[in-house]
Amino acid sequence: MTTVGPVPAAQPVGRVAGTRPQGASTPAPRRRRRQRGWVVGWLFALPALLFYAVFVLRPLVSAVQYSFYDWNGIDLARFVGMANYTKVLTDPQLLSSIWHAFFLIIFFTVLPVVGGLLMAALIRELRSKGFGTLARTVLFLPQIIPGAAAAIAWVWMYSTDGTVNQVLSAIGLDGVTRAWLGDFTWALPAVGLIGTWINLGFCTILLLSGIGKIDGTIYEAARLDGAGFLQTFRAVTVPGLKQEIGVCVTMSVISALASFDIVFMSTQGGPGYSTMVPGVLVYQLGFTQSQVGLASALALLLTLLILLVVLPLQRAFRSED
Amino acid sequence: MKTSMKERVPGIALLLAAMVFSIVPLVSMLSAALQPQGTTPTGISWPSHPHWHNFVDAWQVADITPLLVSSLILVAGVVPFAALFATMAGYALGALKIPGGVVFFVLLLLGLTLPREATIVPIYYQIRDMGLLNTRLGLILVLIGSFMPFAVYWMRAHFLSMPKELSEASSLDGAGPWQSFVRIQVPLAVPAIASMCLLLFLWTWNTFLQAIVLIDDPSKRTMAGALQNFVGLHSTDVVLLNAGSLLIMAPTIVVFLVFQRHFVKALISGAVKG
Amino acid sequence: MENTRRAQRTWRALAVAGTAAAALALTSCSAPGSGSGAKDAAAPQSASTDVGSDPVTLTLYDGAGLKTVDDALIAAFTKQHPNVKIETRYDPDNVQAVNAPRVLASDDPPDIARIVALSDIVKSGLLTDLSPWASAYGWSDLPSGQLAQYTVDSNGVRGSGTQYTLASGFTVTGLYYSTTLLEKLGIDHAPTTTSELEADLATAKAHNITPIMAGNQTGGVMTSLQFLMNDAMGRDAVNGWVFDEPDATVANPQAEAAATTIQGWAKDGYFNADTNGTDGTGALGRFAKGEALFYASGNWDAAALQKQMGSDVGFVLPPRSADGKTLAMSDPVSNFGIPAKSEHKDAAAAFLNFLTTPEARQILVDNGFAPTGSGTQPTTNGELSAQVQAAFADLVKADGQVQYVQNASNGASATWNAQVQLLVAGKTTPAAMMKAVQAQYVQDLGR
Repeated sequence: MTTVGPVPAAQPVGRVAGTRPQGASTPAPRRRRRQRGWVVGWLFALPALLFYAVFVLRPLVSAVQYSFYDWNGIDLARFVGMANYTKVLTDPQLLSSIWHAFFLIIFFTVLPVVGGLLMAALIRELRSKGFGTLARTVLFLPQIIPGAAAAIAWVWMYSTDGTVNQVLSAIGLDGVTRAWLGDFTWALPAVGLIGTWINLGFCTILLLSGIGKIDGTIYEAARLDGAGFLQTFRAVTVPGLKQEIGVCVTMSVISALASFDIVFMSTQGGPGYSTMVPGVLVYQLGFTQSQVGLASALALLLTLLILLVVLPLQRAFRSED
Repeated sequence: MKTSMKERVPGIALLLAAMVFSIVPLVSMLSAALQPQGTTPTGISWPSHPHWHNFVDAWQVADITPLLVSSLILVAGVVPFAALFATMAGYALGALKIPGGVVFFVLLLLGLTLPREATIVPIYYQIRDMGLLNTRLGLILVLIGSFMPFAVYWMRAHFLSMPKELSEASSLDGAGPWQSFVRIQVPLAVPAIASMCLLLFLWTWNTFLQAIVLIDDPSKRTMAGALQNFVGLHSTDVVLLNAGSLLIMAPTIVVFLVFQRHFVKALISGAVKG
Repeated sequence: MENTRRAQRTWRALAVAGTAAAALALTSCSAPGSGSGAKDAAAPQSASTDVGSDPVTLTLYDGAGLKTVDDALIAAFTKQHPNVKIETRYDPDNVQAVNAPRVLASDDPPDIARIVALSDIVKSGLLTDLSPWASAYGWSDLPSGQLAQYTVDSNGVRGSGTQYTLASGFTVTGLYYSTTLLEKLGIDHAPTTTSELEADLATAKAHNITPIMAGNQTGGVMTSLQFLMNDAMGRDAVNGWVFDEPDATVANPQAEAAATTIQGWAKDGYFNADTNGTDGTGALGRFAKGEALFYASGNWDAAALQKQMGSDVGFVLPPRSADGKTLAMSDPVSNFGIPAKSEHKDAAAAFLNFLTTPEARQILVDNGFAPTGSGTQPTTNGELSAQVQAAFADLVKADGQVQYVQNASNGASATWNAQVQLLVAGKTTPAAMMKAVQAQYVQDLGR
């Protein structure tokens, strides 16, 4: 028996449109068709379908079309076949942006999911309800401010006079202080940490909701068996959260691969090209360098990559009951 | 749960560390925002005389009033319509199970994984050709369209979870599908719709990419979109920059704190307490 | 079983979805851009210097950094022509430069707009040929060094041909120096030659004072680099490159030598250590607080520096090599053109002409810029301002106005900035840098 898709309760609140395990729902046996119902039913679906078709599907189809042209956005376009795709796949700069996006997964996905699991388990153990609520609120705060604003907060944190360097100096690490976002080695991890900051609360809350669904008697049984926090965590919490972890991983991987706001507002891809990601490049190519075709090809390859990464993830985390 | 003291202390310490990590960047901004204007603050240091007036100045410099109005107009244009259309479509897909609906549904699933960057360039030219560049209407239409996958998915899940007998009972009463929808289904769906509206509000308010691409005039953008312009103009003055940025973030933080229970309920409905 | 059936259904659904998408595609299968049709509107029209008395509302589109000076100009102009109202629209300076072509091509174009990528925009037919108004107002009498910046020939090369723009005023670049620090270091005068400059840099460094403050996160080191490039390549080679002359290149030994010098300076610690993590405005603020000896920039910073530093700041034109000429980057503050689709061209042209009048020239000087046209030098309101105006006058006399290399093409600015960040961090070689820039340039121009 498959369950009806995880109730909205488990829906993502991320700023990236969410994905959900798609196989989780099975339509109930179809009712007999009724002619009248057919038309009326589609009338209900029509406005949504129309908006979706005109403002999502049509642009997507246009993107496919643009990607075969050399177009500056104003003059008549010139058909160039696959040239834009060849360029994306051979240009070291464009390729490195894709590699950076994958690197960001460490910070946007791995750290928040691992951290979120820990935090959720810890909050569950708390005796004080009030402190639990406070912890939840504080951890979730970064998730609800605009990504652009988060970037500004961290630009200030990372600046020469910023808090990060202040703390480092205070603990005697003057030697490592620097302008973090201007450093070729550290800029990308520094940008990544902003993603950790944003996604941690989201993962914590989502996983916490999953823990709530785990049968309390299992925890009770574990306790009676004398299992400590870590054993319970490993044997009960993590396995019981497979589906929620799947949602966290999927959502945050998309937010890493399609990152834009944070990078755009913090480094614009610099220094050099060290923090350049496909999202910012699509914007630069499409809107500041008038290479609409190349921008479209890169955007579509990015979409394809996301699908290639996300679909197997969906399969891997699908609950098998 | 009874866990030994030895295990609880490091756990709480870890939790506190994570909380500090989450809050420090915001505290750091506040600390900078309260320093005297024209100074170069360093890290976090509580000023002996906090300059709260900086916020008043930043309000003027960042021109917050029109931004607030603009964002509210956008929310008013996006959220009700997106919610209505999504509820209708969710009903059609989840309760009426329209034939061929699975095609629509699969297309929507594609939309769920689609990054905004995928369509932003063509959307620009499409909106230009529609003559809607630099208008809020253009941005509103685009946002409604882009929210459809998630919103319809959400409402479909809700209607799937409703007992089938409900719609059958109402159709026995002789109520048409529309009456049944408005009088019975929608009232029952209010909690799901409300949570969705909260999320749509947040996403609309925080919209960045579409806002900076489709609208040149910062005063017609979302608050988040206006940040780009604000930073471009005022990055010399760290104090004002931080004060202004905090003001720009404030509305979502306030809404979150006020509706927190609903946010959390939306997320954790069904969670077993304790 | 259930899974197979579901899979089948999903595939069928996908097939239908695919067909629907294909059908959608067919509806838009002509090549993009065919419908813009802006070209026809560019033909010369009858021109009048009469603004009339009917109410007219113009829209002016400019970089946000120029708001103050634009507002002053508009106030003065509309006082003379009460029936004209000018609304304004601003984007951040660099955003405005790249947005302009699209804004001009939109259905709601402004009537007056700052144009940076002049030849591209002319090629796309988005600007009004100003010849009729030029002859009506006598703009051909403007200094030739200035006219060169308003004109594009039939091959798309700038510098001569048809006039499309008129500038509100001019920028001029050079070195700001802290007089306090100069004195403290025992240096008796601001450097005029490169060797003097290098000696001063070394002195400052030896006394633990940051020699040059630069915000290289936004490409601030480019200013210093181009000082050296101008000197090494010469005015005509640099301008030719920016004006898209055929075969122009920066992948040459002179430019590479300039980059080598800059890389050496960076290695010797002559720029602030966090330059790649500092933005332009941040650098300005720190120089103003007395953190560095020099700050390479332009007159747009003069007003702010004078306000913050009073008499502790001075300005000189870029230093030159022993046998070099007086050269400096100097281009229009706002190179205003009239979009082809504007419906109020006579009124817009009247505003352009107003820019050459003494009243407008005084406004530009009051805002720290150099004035358009020629005539008696407007009065200045401070020591720094006077130094900047004198420097500009010297520059015009020496015919040494050079264009900014970042304005050469759409992708040039982003490429220069990224490359100069790599250069100061020692992550690229001067030769590789110039090659990368040239490759982007060639690609942008579609050569």
